[in-house]
Amino acid sequence: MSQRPRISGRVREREEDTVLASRARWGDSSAFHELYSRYAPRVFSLALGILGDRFAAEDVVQDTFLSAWRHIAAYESAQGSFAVWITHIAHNKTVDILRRRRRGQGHQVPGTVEDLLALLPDPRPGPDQQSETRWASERVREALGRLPASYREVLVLAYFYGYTHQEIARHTGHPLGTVKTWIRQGLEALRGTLEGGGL
Amino acid sequence: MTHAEVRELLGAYAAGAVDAEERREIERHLPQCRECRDAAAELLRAASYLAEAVPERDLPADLWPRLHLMMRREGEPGAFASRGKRGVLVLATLVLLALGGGVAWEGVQIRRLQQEVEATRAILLLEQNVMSRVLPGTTIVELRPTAAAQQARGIAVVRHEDGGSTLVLLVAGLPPVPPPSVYQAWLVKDGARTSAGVVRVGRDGVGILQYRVPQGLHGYQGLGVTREPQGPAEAPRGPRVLGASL
Repeated sequence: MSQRPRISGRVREREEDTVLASRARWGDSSAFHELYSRYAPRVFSLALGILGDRFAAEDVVQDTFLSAWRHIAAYESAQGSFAVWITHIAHNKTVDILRRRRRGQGHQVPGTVEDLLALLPDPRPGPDQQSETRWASERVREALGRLPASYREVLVLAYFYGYTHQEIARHTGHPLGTVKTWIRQGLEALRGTLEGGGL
Repeated sequence: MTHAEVRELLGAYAAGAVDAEERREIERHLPQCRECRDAAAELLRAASYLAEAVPERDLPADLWPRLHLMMRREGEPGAFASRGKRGVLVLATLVLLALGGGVAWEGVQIRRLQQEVEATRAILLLEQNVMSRVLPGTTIVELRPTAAAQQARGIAVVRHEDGGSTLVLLVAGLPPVPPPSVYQAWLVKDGARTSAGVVRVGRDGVGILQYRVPQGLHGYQGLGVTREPQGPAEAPRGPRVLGASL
């Protein structure tokens, strides 16, 4: 597994990703393999964290990268890094699985946001964690913890528990427009905190 | 879904909080709207940080072989797959030959097979990112196709020297056009288009153009190729088929 460098290394890494994606677009599977090595652990961990099921998480990795291989020509580095693009694909696939499962189980009302956050995997070091990714994980959790509770709640319900803005509005009793605004402002505040802090 | 409705939903879209139909509608809107695309890019970057809140775990080792097998069954990605590496190798060779100078353009295509041997070396140089050391003062830009010519690919090589710039544009996968139609290259500066000349495209879809900019390319923001139905034009009138930011 590649270890991703912190802060200054991210710019260089993004430039390398752009070159690799460009090579992959021309059919270079070794370049695509390098992108896989860099980002498949993140995709796997995200899917595992949300779904709690290793087999389903492996399916998400395969579906995500197969989809990326098929559609690599659509990737535009000017519109964002490869990391963001692949994470978005993976998250959508993960949420789709979660929602299909939920449909089969009937409607569930989630617990408090603190309960939900506590259900995510433990950020303390596991045997297979690189210190770099552990550091990033802790930083993001800290940043989430510093957000206003209203922003934190809607972001956690949306991102980690796959609820739509309409479902969140129903669960929390907040107006739909407010939920949409909080999600957007929560993301902007999170980015401001993390990028201001040099993540 | 209107522009305003999409704008309002972009945060939810980035956080995965839209349903499948809303996602489809937003993704239909984004390619047509620069404002929403830029806003979405910022929000998606923010959302990607959330993925990092989940601690990273090791990946099962057998996943890549399984995926690789599936990729091989699918074939190479993108519309250029049928030309694939052969196409890029030819282009890379042409780049090196062009920059080496003294090339008789008319003879280039005749020597294609011979060039492919050279191209193997050329693409290795490109892949190792040592082009700048081999050819100092050289910039390489990949041109992307538009919906008007999805099979097309292009590479522009800019060599900066003596205060000026020489642009060598190589294209492939462009369908032949009947006269008087031509493919024409344009440089973009502050919204104004300056012709860089006609790109002569052969029956095999490969074309090449060399253009000298005595004052240099500083200040130019873009490079594009259009299909001009009435022949060479003073300003682009036909559809853009390739484009890149400089």
